[in-house]
Amino acid sequence: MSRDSPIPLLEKLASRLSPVSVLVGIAAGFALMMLAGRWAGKQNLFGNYQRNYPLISPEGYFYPSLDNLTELVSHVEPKGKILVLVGGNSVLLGVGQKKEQLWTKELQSLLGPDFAVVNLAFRGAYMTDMGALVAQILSKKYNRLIYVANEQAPMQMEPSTGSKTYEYLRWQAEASGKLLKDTPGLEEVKKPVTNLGSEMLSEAALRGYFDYWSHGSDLWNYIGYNHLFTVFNFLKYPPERFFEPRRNSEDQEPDIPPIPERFTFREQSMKILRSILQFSVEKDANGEFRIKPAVSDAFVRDAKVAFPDWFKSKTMILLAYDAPYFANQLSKDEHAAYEFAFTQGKSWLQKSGYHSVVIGPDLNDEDFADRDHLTASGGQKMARDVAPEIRAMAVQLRYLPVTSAAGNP
Amino acid sequence: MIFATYWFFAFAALFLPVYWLLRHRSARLIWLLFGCATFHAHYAEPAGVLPIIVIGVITYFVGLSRNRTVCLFAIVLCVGALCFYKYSIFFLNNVFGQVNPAAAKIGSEWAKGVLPQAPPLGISFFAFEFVHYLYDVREGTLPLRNFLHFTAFSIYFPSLVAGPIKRYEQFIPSLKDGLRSVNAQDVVIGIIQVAFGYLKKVVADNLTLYLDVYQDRFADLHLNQRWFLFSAIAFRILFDFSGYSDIAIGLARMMGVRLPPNFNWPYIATSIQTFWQRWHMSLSSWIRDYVYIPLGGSRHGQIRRILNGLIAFGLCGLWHGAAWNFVIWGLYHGVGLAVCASYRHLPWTGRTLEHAVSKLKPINWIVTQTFV
Repeated sequence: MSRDSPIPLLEKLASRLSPVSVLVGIAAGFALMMLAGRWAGKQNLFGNYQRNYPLISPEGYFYPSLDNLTELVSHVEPKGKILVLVGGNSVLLGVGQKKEQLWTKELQSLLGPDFAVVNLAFRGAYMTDMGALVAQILSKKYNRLIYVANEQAPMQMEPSTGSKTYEYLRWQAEASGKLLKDTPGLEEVKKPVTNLGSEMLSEAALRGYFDYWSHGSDLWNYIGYNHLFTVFNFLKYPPERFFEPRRNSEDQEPDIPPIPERFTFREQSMKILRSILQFSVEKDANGEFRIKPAVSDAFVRDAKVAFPDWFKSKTMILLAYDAPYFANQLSKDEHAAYEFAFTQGKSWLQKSGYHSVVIGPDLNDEDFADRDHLTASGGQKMARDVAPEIRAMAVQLRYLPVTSAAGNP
Repeated sequence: MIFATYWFFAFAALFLPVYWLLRHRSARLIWLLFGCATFHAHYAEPAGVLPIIVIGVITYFVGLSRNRTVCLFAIVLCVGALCFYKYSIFFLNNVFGQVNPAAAKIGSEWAKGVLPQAPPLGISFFAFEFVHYLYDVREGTLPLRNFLHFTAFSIYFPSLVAGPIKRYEQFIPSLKDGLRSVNAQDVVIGIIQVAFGYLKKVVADNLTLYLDVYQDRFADLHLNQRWFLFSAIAFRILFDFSGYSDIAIGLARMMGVRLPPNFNWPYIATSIQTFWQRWHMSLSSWIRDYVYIPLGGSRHGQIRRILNGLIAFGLCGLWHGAAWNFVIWGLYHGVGLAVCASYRHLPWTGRTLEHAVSKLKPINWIVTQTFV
């Protein structure tokens, strides 16, 4: 663009280039990019990985690709241990716990050297997102695999699977053709669960296919993680240094305030909790609690179609209580309804073929960083609750001999 | 931004190579129209396509008639459609509401029920190009007889969403050139311009994220940070819009078609007049040719000239958004232009001021950029 007209400078520049050479250059550049991306996708991007923190997650405009995550697992555990892949949301990610006190570290130490625990939970992810996709794809490579995720107790009607934020990875997984195919259920039942719908030409679908085949996101993540990031982000501090490679960033969790300041939005939280209970639990003619049909239908449907039956037996779903600070404010009847929802949810999950554990009855306010997330002490208790169950699952799945069922190694 | 969607990348990756490979003019034209219709239908959806088809067909046949009165009616129809889709709620609430609030409320409720959630995609650009076509035909320029050429002019996908606003007298010959043969040099220039456009978009999007964070903290910022924030706002708008224009112009060039330029380093302008000759050039020239000059332009003395300028820029402001602040912004620029064009005619001091201004280019630049 020149001062007098926007075009002449460009014209002059282009006139010095041979059109054929430029077009060949563009084609060759694209091919090189694909090759470089393919190579980058085979690298273990996250060296000393503990978990996904904001600057290496979609909330920090960093979108780990399918290759990034599968390679990460392969590098963490290449030797044939029993792979425990942790998916789910921020509760299992360990929000509220410093990386040194992470509950999955405790879980690893409790399970011992026969197991390898990898935390692939993401904030706001559902049980069928991110970690679940990696688990399905790796289930052929790792015969001895246990997938752990969390789920809401049956106290809501919206599908609890398939979030929009993480849809990109589902489409990459679809493009790879490695997702488990024998998920039961009619297609229209699966739609709200997998978010696939009929939108093969949706932006998310096209992005997933493009990223998978071109390896564009593999290359971009490699550059962004190791060399230069290109998207401004206020999560980075100071934000003006957004361009710094993400490997220089830290997994930092804020300190947990003392209990009087810890549980915020108290009135709203109680209102929400009570309205959820009223919406989902009722008493029948005999005065017994039951989950309202619309809620139970949604919960059972999601549980049924989320995974193939044979994969359900390798999957453990945790149902986690809210902080007792809130639950204890419920009336006796409300509290009973609340506990019933968890018991019922666990029962339905088990009937659907999953293993299920309720987390919370033994937790106190000190164990919670806020209404949902656990502190280091809460995380350790969760690990202690989960470890024997995983060990029992491993025996049941014949990953371990029966003699290993009890206790720590 | 439509040009930054995966659907568009897929569309362009399929459309352009076939366009280049087709050798026969008619086949290329049919393929182009198919591509334009697909693009329009995908992004505008049926509710957004139908009004454009209706207005377009009317414009085509009215143009063929070359009847001045019918052309005038069709111009009113195009402007009416634009006002209906884009401004009815604004007019009802903010103008008619001042006169008869009760009736305005009823009208507003009715309009909300009738209007689609968003105006048809690119309705402003369609209306402007159709008005230009009808006005020029009315003034004696030959209309387009070939319906396919008219359709290509109407829904040409690179400029469909955000311009540049085309003139059919220049566009059709260029389109024919592109249909006849695509020069490899054009393809290369187009690719480079598209690449520049995307680069500008990356910068603009980063500035948007920056502004999202810091705009709300303006009171806490140091003076230099505040100036940086103002600059970020200015460059975000420029890079966003001129990046879009570059992509549109580059895409057309890749098909051998030349679209009018839209931006020409506006932030080096040293007067408001030159700023508007460099900023959104296809819009400012449209307003000049189809609002300012028909109102009388500068032909009826200084007062009328200023008044015409204010009306033209008031409408320009309204075009940018259906709200009073946009109208005030337009009038603000209209006043600036009036001052710029008139100060040298002031008695006694005019000549001296003109001489001083001509000697103080850096000051002019600072004043102009601060003003805009």
